[in-house]
Amino acid sequence: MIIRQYDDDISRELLIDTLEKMGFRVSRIEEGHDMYYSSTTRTYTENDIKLHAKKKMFDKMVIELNNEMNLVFVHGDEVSAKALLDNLARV
Amino acid sequence: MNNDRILAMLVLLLLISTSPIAIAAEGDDDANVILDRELEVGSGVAIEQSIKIEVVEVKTDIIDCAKLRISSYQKPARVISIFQGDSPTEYETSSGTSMYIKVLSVYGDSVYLRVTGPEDWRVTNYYTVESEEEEETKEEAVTIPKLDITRTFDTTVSEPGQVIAVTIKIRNTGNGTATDIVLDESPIRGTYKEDCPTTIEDIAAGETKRASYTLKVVDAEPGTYELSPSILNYQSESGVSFSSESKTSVLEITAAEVLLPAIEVSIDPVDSIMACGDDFPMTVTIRNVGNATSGIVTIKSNLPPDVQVVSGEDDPVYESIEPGESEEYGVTLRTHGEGKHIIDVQAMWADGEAVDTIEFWAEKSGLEQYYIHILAAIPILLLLFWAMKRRKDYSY
Amino acid sequence: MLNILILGLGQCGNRILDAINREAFGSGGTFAKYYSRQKFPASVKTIAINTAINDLKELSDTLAKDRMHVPHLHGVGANRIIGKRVFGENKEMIMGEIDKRGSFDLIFIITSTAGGSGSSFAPLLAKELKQTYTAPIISIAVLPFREEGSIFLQNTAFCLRELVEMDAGGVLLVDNQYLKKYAGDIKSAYDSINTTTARRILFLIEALNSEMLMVTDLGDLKTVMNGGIGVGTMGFYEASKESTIKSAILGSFKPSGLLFPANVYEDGARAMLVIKGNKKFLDLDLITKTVEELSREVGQVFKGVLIKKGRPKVLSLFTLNSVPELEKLYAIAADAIRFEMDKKEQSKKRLDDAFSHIEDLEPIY
Repeated sequence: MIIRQYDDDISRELLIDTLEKMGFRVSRIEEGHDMYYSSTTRTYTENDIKLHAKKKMFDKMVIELNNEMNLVFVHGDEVSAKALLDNLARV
Repeated sequence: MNNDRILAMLVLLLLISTSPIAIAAEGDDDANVILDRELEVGSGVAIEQSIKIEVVEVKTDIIDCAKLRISSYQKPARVISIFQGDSPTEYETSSGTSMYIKVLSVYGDSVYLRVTGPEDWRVTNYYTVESEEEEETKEEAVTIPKLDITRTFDTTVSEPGQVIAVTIKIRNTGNGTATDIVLDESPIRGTYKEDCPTTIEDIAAGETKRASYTLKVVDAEPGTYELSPSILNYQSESGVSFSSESKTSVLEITAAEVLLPAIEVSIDPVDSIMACGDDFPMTVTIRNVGNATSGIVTIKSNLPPDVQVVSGEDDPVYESIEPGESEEYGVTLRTHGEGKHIIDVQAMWADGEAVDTIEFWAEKSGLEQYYIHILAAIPILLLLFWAMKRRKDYSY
Repeated sequence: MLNILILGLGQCGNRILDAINREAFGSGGTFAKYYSRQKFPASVKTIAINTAINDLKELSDTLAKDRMHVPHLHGVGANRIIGKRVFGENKEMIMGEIDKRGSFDLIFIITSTAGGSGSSFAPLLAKELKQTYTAPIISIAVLPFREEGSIFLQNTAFCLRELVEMDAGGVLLVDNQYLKKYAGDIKSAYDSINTTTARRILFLIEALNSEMLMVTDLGDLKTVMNGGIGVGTMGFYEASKESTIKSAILGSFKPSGLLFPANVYEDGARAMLVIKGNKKFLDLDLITKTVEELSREVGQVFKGVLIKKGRPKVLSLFTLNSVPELEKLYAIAADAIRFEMDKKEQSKKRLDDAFSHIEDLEPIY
């Protein structure tokens, strides 16, 4: 899992749009309340949504969004995850 | 030294050249000369009583020769020609002793003979040969039986199981009674002789006797048999043995007629050519060509795997078929396979089976024949059209 | 899927367009068009426009219906004034033909700046298209060999000025003079320049249209093209076995890979990098780091990463703040124009002198 904190708000729409540009299809969106402890931020966070994205059979990603702190958690292939986080940083 | 060698060789040569002559001369000299004189034609000489040499004829031709009649004990008279200058002709008597006759020279009606032989042999008599008539009259005095044998069959064509009556007629044409008559009939394989006499009573001169027996044909192979002659061995009253035989006879043995059904299968049409997928009607005739009614006749047709029965009776079974009668059935076949198809129809009954085979060629119909080509041509044409269309699309 | 229109104007534009169409057939050779299908990375429409019918005829891989002849005898003879007039007369027809192809997200106008039809049509057509369509219009301007003649230089100077002033969506320069190094003789030089240009345009289209690991899109392209003075060019680099992705990225800015001589580090305004290759060669961290370094020198650098087979290939597209080479060209062009004017005046003077001999005379019969 890779976490990145952004300066600006990452909207749900931007996330979906970016994923689609990368060839991923958003298959499911869960309104989530998972608690995470981040050693970087040293806080517990409560995520707002959990997003499941899929490209091919085994190319899957799960992205969690924390709107309060502009945190994005990406589970999945490291290269794709990094690419997604980089793409989200692009203005 | 040299002279000695020549001398030795000369001696050796002399020895070699003279030795055969010496041997021959020795042979001549060694033999006992029994007779060495001129004999006129018609005169004879007897040696040791029984050996008779008579001069029958002399011939003065390119090579002169003399014809001599020689007879001896238990050996019939024999006429031999001896040529002048020939090596001595050997004559062997019944006892195995040989003598040698040589013609030294031939004159107008006489011959100079030299006969050599065993040492103790001597000329016992010189005589003039009497005329033959005188001889015959002399012979008449002896009684000799002479049997003529005739064998007849009541039929010369026979079949197994039949009985043939054989009659043997024996006639004594001689002037003496025949005694100890033994009949020898050689057997025929597959036949059985019944009441065949082996001995026959004495037959007086001029008398005729009949003997008969039956010949049963048991299982002789059909065919024509040449029967060996009947042989009669008999003796004259004086104990001289004689033998006579009949003529050979011919006996034909035919096969017995058996009552059996015989089934023939025939398929119509015989052979034909047709198109694949077309109906091929076929008529099968089953005929009893035998002389008895058949039992159940089962028909079995063997079709290649790619030939199907479209309609009609396939493999019928007939309860019985009378002799000379026939049954037939029709069947329609169809095939999609190209090439030669062999169909055989088999009829099976208690005693055997018969089969008829036909061949027919199935040819692809026009379209079907070129099916592959057409199939192959379609994509090529499509490609061609596509390429042409493309060319048009790109030509400005 | 992006709808892209590519217009090839004049002989040069037609040929590059034809090369694009040929490249789209893949590596099938001359006969590929008879059996194969074009594999454009997006929905691409192409139109070759020319006043010289012979130039249209010699195209091989462009559909006949995509070749548009603007009737004016046999071309405009490198005269931009005539060219502009001919465009004006046939504007409706040309626009109507383009209109038939539907709507577009991006329009490329490929033209030589030197010739007649292309150089005169391009600015006017860009203007018309700008009015009709909202799509950005990128002009790909091919600069002539400097020794081709003073008229060509003059045409280049005026055409380029008009294109830049039109501000339709940016100008990408392709310099024949610079690219002459590709081949020995003129014919193969042209062929290889056309093919190279075609491949880069297709690469760019592929990058814009694909789903990417790192995303660049049409908006990024617009941003890049709006940078600096709106004039830029493209660079290319194919990584060798040993080279890292960083050296491949930097390689795409090297003069050997550029279509027009420029110093990106000094004059670059904005840039876009499209990296294509097998995932195993693509170190995202290194890419990000390299791009960040570049951004400090060049300005905004957009990056796109495409996952495809093969070793990494990098396409760079950038706009410039200043174009020294172009300035040089304008200086030469100005000299050429002046020289031409002087020559014309002198000739006129000579002719006048010649005529003056018969000034007071009348023909006598």
